[in-house]
Amino acid sequence: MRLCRVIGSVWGGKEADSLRQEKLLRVQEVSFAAGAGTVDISTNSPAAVKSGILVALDQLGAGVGEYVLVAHGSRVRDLTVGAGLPVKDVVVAIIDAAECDTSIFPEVAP
Amino acid sequence: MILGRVVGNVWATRKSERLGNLKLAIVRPYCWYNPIVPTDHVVAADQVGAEIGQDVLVCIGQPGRWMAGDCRTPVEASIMAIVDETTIPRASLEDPQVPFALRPGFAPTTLRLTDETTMAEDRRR
Repeated sequence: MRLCRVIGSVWGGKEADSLRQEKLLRVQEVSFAAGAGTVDISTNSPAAVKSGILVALDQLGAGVGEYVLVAHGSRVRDLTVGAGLPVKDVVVAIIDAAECDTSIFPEVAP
Repeated sequence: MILGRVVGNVWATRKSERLGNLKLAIVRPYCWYNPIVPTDHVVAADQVGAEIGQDVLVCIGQPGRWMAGDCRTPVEASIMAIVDETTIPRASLEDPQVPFALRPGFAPTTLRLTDETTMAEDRRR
């Protein structure tokens, strides 16, 4: 599971029947810069830089700019949104707050 | 499986019902074992009670769901142990047969690299 930020939605003019009622979100994975102290992602800190973009199915109603928890895999999909949907990434939670202490990363500071 | 350090916590109220009141922790991985998936962070369910700053063992996939309570919990990673110390023979890092990777520039205090000879001596004792 990864922390991601919602950056937009995806619509298909023609899509699989099972996807018609579903909402697909473009989300960007959060990656934390080392040595930035304690990062609270709800304050939109620049220390929480963004990396790869993925598309995730959302049944919770996340909006653009919100942080979400995205889980990957067919088992998670079956357990949350139901089997038969052609997706692998699913939004399982909308984050209220997340705190990350980058000063204790198990790495040598640059 | 992943060796990493708990660096933060996540709170959410709007979530999949099956997640319940599971505690979620942000883990910064420094060592991967089969498969090697060098991610920046992983959010893992915590049933062990790990605190921020502790080094932990995280399992991925179906065992992660079992660890989270039952196999119907929609998580893909769980903390399964709090690590006291890890010893890795230095030679195994260079062995291409070992499905094992370390994050470059790591320095966890709980990880100790040893030479093969030292390991052999340990065994003799």
